Amino acid sequence: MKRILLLVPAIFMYALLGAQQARTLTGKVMDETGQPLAGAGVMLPDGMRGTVTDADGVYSIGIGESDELLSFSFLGYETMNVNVKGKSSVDVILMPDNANTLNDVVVIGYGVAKKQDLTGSVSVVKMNAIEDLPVTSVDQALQGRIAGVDIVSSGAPGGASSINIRGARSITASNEPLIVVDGVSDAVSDLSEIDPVDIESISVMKDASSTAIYGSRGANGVILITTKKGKSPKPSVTFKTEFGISQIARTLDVMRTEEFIRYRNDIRQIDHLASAPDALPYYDAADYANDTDWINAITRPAMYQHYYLSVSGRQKGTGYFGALSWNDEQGIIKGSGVRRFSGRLNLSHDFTRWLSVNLNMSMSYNNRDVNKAQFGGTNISNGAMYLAPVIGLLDRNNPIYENGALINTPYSSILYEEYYCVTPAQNYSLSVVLKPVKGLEIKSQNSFNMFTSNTYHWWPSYMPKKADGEGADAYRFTRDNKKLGTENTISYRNKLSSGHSFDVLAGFSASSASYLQQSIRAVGMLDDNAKWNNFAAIGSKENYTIASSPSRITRMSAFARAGYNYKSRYYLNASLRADGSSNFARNNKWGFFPSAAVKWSVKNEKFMRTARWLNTFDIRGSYGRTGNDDIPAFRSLQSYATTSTYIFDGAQAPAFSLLRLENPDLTWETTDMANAAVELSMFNRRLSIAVEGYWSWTKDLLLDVTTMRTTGYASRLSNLGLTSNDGFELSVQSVNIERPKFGWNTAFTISHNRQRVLDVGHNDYVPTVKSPGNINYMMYGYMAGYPLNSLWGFEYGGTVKNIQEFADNLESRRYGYRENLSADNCLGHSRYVDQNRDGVLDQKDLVYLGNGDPVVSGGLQNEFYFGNFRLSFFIAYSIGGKIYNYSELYMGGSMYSNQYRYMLNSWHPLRNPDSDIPRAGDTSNAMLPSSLQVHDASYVRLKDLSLKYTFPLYKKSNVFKSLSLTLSGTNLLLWAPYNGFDPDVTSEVDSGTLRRVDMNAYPSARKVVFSVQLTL
Amino acid sequence: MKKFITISIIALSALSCSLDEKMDGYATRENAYGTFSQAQAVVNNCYRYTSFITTNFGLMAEACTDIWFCNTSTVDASLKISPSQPGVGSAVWNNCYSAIACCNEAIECIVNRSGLAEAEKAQLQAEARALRALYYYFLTNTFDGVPFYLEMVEDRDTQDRIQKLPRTPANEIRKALYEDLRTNALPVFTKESGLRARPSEIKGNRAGYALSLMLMAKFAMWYGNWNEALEPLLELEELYGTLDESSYPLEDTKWSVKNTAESIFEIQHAWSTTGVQYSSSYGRLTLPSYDGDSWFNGVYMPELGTSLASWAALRANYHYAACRPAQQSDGSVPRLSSDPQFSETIFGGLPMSLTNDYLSGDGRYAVAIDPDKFPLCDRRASFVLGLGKNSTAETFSSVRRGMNTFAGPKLWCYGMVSSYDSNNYKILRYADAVLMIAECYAMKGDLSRAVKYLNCTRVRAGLEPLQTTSGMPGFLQELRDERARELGGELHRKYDLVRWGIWYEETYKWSNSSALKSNMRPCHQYYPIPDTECALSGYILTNDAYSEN
Repeated sequence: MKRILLLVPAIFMYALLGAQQARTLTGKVMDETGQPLAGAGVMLPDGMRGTVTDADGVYSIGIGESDELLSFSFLGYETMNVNVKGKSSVDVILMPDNANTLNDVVVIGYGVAKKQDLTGSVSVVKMNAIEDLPVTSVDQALQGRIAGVDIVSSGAPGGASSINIRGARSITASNEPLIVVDGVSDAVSDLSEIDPVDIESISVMKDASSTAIYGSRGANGVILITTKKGKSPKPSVTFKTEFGISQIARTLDVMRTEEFIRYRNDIRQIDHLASAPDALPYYDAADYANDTDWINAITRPAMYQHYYLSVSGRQKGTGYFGALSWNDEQGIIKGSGVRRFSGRLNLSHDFTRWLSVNLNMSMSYNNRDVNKAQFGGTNISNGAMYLAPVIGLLDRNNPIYENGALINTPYSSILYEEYYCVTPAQNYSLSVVLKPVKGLEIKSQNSFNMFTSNTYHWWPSYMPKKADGEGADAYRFTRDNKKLGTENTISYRNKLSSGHSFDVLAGFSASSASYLQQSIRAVGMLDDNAKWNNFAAIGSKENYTIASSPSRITRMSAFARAGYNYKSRYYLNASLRADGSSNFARNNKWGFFPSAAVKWSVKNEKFMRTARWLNTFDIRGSYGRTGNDDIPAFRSLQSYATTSTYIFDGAQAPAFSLLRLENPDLTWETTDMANAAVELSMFNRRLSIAVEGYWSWTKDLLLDVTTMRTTGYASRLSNLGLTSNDGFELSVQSVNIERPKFGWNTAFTISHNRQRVLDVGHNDYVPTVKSPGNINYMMYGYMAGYPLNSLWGFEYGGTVKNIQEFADNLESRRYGYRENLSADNCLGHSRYVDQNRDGVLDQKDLVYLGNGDPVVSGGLQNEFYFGNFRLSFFIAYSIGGKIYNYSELYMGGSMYSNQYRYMLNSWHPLRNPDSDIPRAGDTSNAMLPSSLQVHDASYVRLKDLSLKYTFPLYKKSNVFKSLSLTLSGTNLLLWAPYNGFDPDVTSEVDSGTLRRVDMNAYPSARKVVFSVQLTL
Repeated sequence: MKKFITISIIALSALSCSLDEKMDGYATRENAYGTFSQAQAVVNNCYRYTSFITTNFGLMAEACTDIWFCNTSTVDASLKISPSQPGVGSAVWNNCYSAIACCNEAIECIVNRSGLAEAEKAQLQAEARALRALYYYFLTNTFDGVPFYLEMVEDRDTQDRIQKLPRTPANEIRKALYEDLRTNALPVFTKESGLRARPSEIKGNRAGYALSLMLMAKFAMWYGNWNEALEPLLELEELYGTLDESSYPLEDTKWSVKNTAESIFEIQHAWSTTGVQYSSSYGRLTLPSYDGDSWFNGVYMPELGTSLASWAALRANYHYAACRPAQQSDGSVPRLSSDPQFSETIFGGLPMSLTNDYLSGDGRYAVAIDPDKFPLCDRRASFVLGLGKNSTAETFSSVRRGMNTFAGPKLWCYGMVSSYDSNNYKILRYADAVLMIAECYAMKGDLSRAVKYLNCTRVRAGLEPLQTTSGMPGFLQELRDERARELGGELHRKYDLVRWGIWYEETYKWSNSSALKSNMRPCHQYYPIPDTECALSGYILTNDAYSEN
């Protein structure tokens, strides 16, 4: 497409070759990597004489003796003026034009558009900013770079991440955007199937007018990924190798043996202060052989390797791009990591001027060593954070958590268990493009995707927790997904001489996907050698847990879009999609999703011509409706579940249990979104500013509405409820310095989103995370009027510092306590505000403690060029969210676990009688969730830094084009008030509503990588 | 034109795939009743919900009574329950109604929507009716009046209607279910069908005749119609015969001895490291407190388990059993204290002797199990109460010190792993029925017959039979104590006390748990309906008794 657009003016220029021909100048035009640029314009300043480069980037132009200046240009590159006086040969390297992206072609739904003609909200990721980053999956590089896009990851290598575009809107259904790769929807199950180096461009469509063409799939935004294709007539080979190391970025400030023993002595001393005030310390640190630093014991410096080879080119109408890559990323927790092999082949061939065919094939093979170590969360008796330093690496019991039960320490899990997941994936897509007459394009794209996932998990019989004769446990899980899809479009575009331009597109698509899951878990395998390879070796056949569940979803859609503009001043765009989906109920199979957008390019008006400093001034607005059908199959149908449960005659008999009632009206949830934006660029496009505001309402939520248990069912999936999101996004790009040998570019984004639950069917709150212990209070949850990701808890009221105060409180009822306290035993204990002063601390005293979502977030990218060096760094920030440090429920004053070191400053009758930190052993159980454990989740992070030096080898060699050496680092510095590992992780990637919950989350790593890239 | 046709063909072929969903891999109401075993699978599911009887149910039904207590911070043991903290109430509620909905579905579909033979239909629906009555029995005992319905939840409209049901008074529910069982279930269990038999004689120990009779009697006693109660009880007597040691050995009442002749309904469990693994965890509460490494409160008992979690143990209130010897050396029964909780103990003297071990901290001599005293005592004392290792006379430390005893071998799970309790939970057995007969005759004024039945369990336990002379109030007290001795720990005590209307007074009077006594109020005799359910009903369901306080 790019080539075609270019050729038109080039041919035009050719015809205008001047008469004055005194000498011939030849040379070659190349891009910054030394690749020849075919079709680059070579022009004299009069604008009348010029030529274009041929397929090898070579040009030849006749110029006059007096001509001094020659201008070289190529779309998307900075135009270069070269003094050619007295020269007969000039080679030129054009640098990418980072400021002027206006003419860039942007991939949009079912087509492409010039950036200046966009009417919707589409963010284009600048690939050159992320291409040097050592990431195995592109989502890891994107956090903070696109305004309005929030990405959180589980932190583990190869682990899932969760992407939200412009906030969360669904509660039960997914909030993840649709991912389209080379025009195929759902082409990947996970972004980690694609090697980031293979990616040519990424567009993120955020507003409804852009995504409505995807109808019932578009409500959560759409990410369009285009992979590389062969472009250059000369074959190009790229070899890249990366090697690096990562380590835990931040550890926890927890006690070591000596401090911990002091803490345990404090508990006894405070408890027995009245009866034995002069008692000597009970425990002696010298009696304890261990001083285990649990986090250190299970983490390691981890290696990172990446090898990549690609070949691409385009000859005689055939374009090819082939790539192979191998990744090996160890996790910082011992035993975890991921190895990936991936390959891609993109072929295209033009059979005639009007018929071309594209074949894209890719495969990936992911072998993930899943983390086996329990870290924190609810693993109170065996999580690495909680284990006391006095416990040895392979101990079988936890004397601090005094329940006598045996444990597997995280170290023993790493050592003994085997746990990995192998996921091969294959994608094929074949498309035929017909261009029978100018402006008309007919395209049919047909695809087939296969994804399998195999999980292997084995617990040998010698795990510390196992009883004698218990045998080994083995688990196998297989997921087998297949999807067949077809997308067919016909489009026509025309520009009339009167200034009216229009383009229309119509199409239909259909897909059929099948999913099969099977699992088997065997408990009590007789032979450790059998692992999961011989499930027959089990003590009793009763101890198999076997499950299989198939499902199938069929979708059909018809869609149309029309765009119009008058002299690039007034734009109008409208689209409509009709979607049918099998997973909705018989009365509601089809839905309709319209959208419209308008744009006024003010700068293109006659009256703005005098404002020369201004290059673009666009005002645009859109409104549209999209849907979300992301629920499993069969959810509208009545069914029984099959279980194996009760014992008759000593054996478990099969049983049918009630699963669901029919819902003949179940349908998708719909999101209406309005978007308004202003885009400016000025000072010769050196400064570009875009401001967007949006308002969206999601209704008919696919909500698991709680039903009364009297009916035999706990909940039913209904279309009920309303959520809203509104916010703004600002992105600024500037070219601060632009000199031949030195350049400095800056890109800055800031976004704000306000998420609200307006109606969830009943007035009650809905907890999503509850506190541990015998009484469970809501910690995370939502209710009407509050955000989905709200934090709840008691208002911490400090410690009880004197008995009089305690006695007075019996009357005033200002505070409540975790347990019944008596005057003899109240000092130093934590107290909480009794909001309704009824003398009882209960659910009614919970208060809203903030929201997990930031107030503003974004990033700042800086890029410097000096000579052949390129230095870039990226700072990501997030300001204003809240996070619970779940581990503090135990590690901030309980008896059962190791403690944060701040507990050394806790209330103590002699050392620290004024402290508001609860006394040692404030509770024998978990603490009440309160404002005490809630922290500011704000952070500023030096996320990426890379320094690259490129040797322009083409100057000296006919074979090699360039060699670049890059040193890059990720997560190098973090400023955060949070006292956990990292405020920007989540342990709940699968949750639709929860973001940034730190329960057993994998700690984040700091990584430094050296890479070599050779191009020939 | 050619292209148009081609495109149309492609379009039509793509659109020809159907959007209709065909259920793969799941049973539906339409296809789950084709054969007897399919229909039986729905009935099987009705048994599953007895899983609400885990630890905390034991805390509710036993630990908050005059005979036991448990020092844990759970809301159930210390009665910190409220509508927003419903404790085990929510498990009882959720499981019972899940089961009831399943029973209703099974009854309707088997009777009206299946092609089974009439005899097969009759048998399966009668079994489901008996189970449905069992769950309503637990619901009414726990909550008093509850929403009552017997229809199938056909669709969302039915569901919406059921969500608006108010509480039906408990006795109305009991009367309705008595009638339901009498009319629709009992006639099915004929001698010819082989179903008029004790569960121990029925394949799979499935519920049926005996359970129906027992529940009818329980219901009738709750609403105080002694004749209606006696009717099914005497049918039970006809089936089971005389309760004595030769037909029904006391040893068989242990929960670890499964599906014995005396059984009427027991919840089946099994857990072994390499065999069937289906369990609950009430047994973890009834074991003595665990010191680790197979030491139980100072006694090494590897037979109870080697890898256990330590939980707060269920303990007898002093009123139930104070650790005093059966007899002094002069033959008299010693008084340990003038406090009535020590003198008026239900179990009287235990098979123990004073030792020469003077406990200076306690200021008294220790007591220990004395094998010679076994014949002098109620045999059940060393069954129901955990004194130590009876075979070797090793005594638990806290028992030696005269503190509260634990629950006994009757409820112990031997070879327990972690908290997997493989005992069968014998929640209804014939001795209960015999004592119910005694109570019904007494309430009808026929004390002589009443005493005859009461003496069945007394004599089996090795006690002297009672004479008829004790008079009505004395007899009732004796009956209450006898039920405590015979059925202690078997999850009846709170229900009995509530039915007699004396739960609050007796529990407050005798409980050794100060936390319980400081929290308990008369409204706690019934659990509150969980707040969330009240809200979902639009507050058609309320907990008036709780809001008055």
